[in-house]
Amino acid sequence: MSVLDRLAGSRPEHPRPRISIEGAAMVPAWVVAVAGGLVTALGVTVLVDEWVVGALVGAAVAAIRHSAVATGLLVLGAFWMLQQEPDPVRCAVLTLVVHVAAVTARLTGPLSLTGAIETRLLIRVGAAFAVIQVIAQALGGLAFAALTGLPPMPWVGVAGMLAVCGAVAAGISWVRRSTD
Amino acid sequence: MSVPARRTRAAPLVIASATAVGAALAAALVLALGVAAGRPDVAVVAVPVLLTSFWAGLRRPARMTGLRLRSAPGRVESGEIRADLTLDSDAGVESVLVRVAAQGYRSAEALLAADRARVVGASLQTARTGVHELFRVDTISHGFGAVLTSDPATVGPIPVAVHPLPRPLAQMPLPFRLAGLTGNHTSRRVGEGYEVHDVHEFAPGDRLKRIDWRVSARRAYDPRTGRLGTLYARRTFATADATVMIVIDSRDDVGPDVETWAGGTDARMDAATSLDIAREAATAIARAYLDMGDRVGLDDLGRRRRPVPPGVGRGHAERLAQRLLRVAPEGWPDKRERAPQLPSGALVVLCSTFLDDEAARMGRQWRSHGHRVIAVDTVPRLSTRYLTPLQDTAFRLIMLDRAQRIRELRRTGVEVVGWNDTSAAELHAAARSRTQGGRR
Repeated sequence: MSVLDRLAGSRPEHPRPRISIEGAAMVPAWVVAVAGGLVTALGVTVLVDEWVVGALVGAAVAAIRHSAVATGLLVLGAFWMLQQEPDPVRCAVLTLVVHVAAVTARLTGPLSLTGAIETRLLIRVGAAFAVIQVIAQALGGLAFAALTGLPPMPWVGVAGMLAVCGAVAAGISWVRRSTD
Repeated sequence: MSVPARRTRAAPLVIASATAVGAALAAALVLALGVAAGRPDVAVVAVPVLLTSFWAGLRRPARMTGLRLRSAPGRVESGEIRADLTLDSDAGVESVLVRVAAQGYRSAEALLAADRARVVGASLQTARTGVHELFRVDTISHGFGAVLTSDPATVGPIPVAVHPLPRPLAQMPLPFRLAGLTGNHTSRRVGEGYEVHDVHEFAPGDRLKRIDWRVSARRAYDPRTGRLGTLYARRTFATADATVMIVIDSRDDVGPDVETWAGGTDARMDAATSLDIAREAATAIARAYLDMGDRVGLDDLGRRRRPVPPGVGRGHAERLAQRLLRVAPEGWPDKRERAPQLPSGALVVLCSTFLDDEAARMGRQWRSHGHRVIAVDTVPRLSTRYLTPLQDTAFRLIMLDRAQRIRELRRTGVEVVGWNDTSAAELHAAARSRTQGGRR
């Protein structure tokens, strides 16, 4: 019995035995939460050039694991971007960071830190994440093309759009094939 | 025992979760802000959240996940216990949050892919036996991106009958008096058997095949006449079977942690209690006697119900096992004035904690009636680590009283064995001993 337990007058609880869920390969929820927090911290640090702010936001994403954090990040990021000059890198990074925070909260929010996430689900969610990111980043690229004026060769834009659509269709079919 | 299964209907789909609605509204606000300010780069930031909501609406599942829970087929023994959870999901369901719980265990949670029907296993370790309600499963189904969620659905817990692990016992003590005309044991009576009793003169009633021609030739051959005089026949000990009554004392069920004896705290599921030990001992002893062809019955001191009468065979072993599984403390039974009546000459195996005088009194009465009584001490290895000084004093007094009770039992001729690693050797020694009161 430790000194603290003696002072508190309570017996140390020997942990009860644990039930295990036996599915396919699993990843602990805390690993996903920490990974999401790290990506968010890195992205915010790139945006504001302040590692303390990045660390705080990353810690909030990893520790709170609630969609409200991602929603707050979206609103605050949008207002912050309004104060800045348009920048394609900043737009791309913020789009990625908000999406990572939302997916991290969606995966780890319902679970306790001792919970687990099936690897097959992670692959499926990751593939959907990639498809949505491709679409969003492509739209970001088009937005900046519209802001700075269309390129002198319109066929380049058409080819780019076709490439994006092809990539999206290939991604969706790959998700279906690899997770069924 | 039939394998129990529980099932729920597919839970209906409910509206989008509040957090998802909040996120979609915030994203729409940002999109509107970007458009109003003429800043498409700001509007783009909201695109992932809006696309997720849009896609979730398109792939809205018709129904959420149906559940079916069943324990693993076959005989369940203490150790690892498994159950199978069948998830029957619609194509639009992306994931299912599963939480498996059982009393005395830390629950487990997992987020599983649920895009098709599948079976998920759950397991736990237990040292307990008997019938337990295990595996309560709560689930919440999620559509794409967890935008759409279902109400929580619950299935279980399911009753699981956990049998004690088999424990082979080699040689078992026999009653003072063997009964019956057939069996695997040699009695003291003369009759049909295998062990030679003596050789005596042929008499009416002796079978012709029992005539010992060599002895007759040696003793009764008359060389002058060349004839045999008196014929001699071999007599053998008769065979017989033993009648064994196993008596369980289910009035109390104490765990290894003495602090739980007063109630309020459940005994741990990974440590055997006194009743688990009694079940294991009774099952092993019954199995050993039944394997030898003896008749075994079962009675319970904690219940006033008809005992299982002595019987033989595999079906009877299963009957005993089923009765033992359902042995559990029920209230506080009335004090018995007389010991339950047992078959004449039966060996009594009394499994008890001897924490009060009732079982010991019964044992002494049976012994005074001429039964051979073997008391199996079922108190587990105890831990007094967390007792307060007052509780510790009370515990020591109870154990002193118990030790005195067991000494008294031994003094009256009851053989006491503990159920531990050396119990097989103790029973073997009891089988070899010639206890006072027996005729063998």
